[in-house]
Amino acid sequence: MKRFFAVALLIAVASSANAQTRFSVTSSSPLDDLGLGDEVWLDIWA
Amino acid sequence: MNLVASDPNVVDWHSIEMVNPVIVPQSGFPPKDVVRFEFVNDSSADSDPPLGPDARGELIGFSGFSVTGDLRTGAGIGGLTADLDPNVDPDTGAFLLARAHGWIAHPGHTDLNLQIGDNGLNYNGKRSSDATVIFGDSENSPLNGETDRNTSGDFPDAVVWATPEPGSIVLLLLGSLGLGLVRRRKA
Repeated sequence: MKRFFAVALLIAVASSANAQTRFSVTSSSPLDDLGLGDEVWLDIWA
Repeated sequence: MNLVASDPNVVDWHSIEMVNPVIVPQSGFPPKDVVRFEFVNDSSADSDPPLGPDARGELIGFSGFSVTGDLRTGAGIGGLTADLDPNVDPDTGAFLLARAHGWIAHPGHTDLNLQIGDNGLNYNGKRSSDATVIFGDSENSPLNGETDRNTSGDFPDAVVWATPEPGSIVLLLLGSLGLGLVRRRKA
């Protein structure tokens, strides 16, 4: 049913015909020195 | 959207959940919470079916969306809801869209990239082709919501480095030492 609508990430406000969104990914802990079994949390922002 | 990896073995993803807060509680008649997205496709119980990693171990097709109409209950993201949405960074104005959770499963490094998924990216009343995104690194080229689906940016959004367990390093060093001694005896 959901796929029927085929609309993803509806963003309520578009100020121009060619709206541009910048995305970024952050993590609450450093990702460059992890060991086996360590947790990874990623936050995705727009 | 997708979250893909250059080496999908490094992180064993457990879940991806869209952040979907109440924007206006009990609005309209009959009273109903206005949330950010009317529907989500993620790993939560609100998704039917819940989304998990695909066969390659990547998170493919997570999304939040609303259906425009008289009974619309999804406010989306944008300037109009920035002051009402509890998941906006006050310094950057960015909306927290989703959280991915996993564990390190193998040593090594992997580049992680966001992608626009199969369903594209829509702004209210606009076509997917009207939307462009820039992922991660500001040096990335813009990607179009219609023509650049399932395409990574030029640079990764995040890089994970996982080191072997200390015991593995000791074994590796001992192995190298043994190999060196054998070669020395043969010489």
